Amino acid sequence: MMVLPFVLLIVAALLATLGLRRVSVGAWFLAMAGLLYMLSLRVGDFASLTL
Amino acid sequence: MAAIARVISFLALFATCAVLLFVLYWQLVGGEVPGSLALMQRIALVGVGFGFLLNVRFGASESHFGVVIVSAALGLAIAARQMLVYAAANGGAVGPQVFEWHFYTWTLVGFFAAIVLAGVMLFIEGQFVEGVRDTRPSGAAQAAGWLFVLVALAHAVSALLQCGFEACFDGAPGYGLLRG
Repeated sequence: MMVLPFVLLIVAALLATLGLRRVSVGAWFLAMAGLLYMLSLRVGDFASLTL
Repeated sequence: MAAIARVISFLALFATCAVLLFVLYWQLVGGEVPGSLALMQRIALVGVGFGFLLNVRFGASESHFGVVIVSAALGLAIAARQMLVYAAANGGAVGPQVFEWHFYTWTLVGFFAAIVLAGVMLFIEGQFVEGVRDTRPSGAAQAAGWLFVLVALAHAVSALLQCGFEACFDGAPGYGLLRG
């Protein structure tokens, strides 16, 4: 699962290099959504912190 | 001013590639296998580089700076989380240092700097006059694009070897896929 945003970003960069701007931004958006999801899985750990 | 903005985007893209290559070098030569949060920061850094790549390839657009800012904001949140966890759990820092700062401290400052840079560049309105264009890119833009793709690919292979297709949250360092 960790590798999925990397793959999406590589696809995005490839598409951008080939000239497909809108599709590449869509792939970037999916990658960031995946990253946000993974971060959300770890955010719960904050509850155990005493800050 | 548009030419200056274009040069800045070029430099920012190369700086992103340089940082990604440096951490890969540190990982391979120094034997520092990244944890899950470090991998997530790398993903955000690739996202930042992608925003600058769009500027270099298609010309400047507000949405390209949006890509930079959103990616950097996510990276900053992840780096801050890592710092807070170490501060709360260990009462001290963990991991290697470069110029007396830990990697996650550098990343936090770097993502903050990327947000500020993108915000300041948005003030250069002259760069948006031409709009995005899909003409044949210059050789330098094409080379920068392929360099970025290769660097991102190297990190993806590294993450695949380390985590396989898992979330990589177990905290066990090493290359799980190579161990079978």
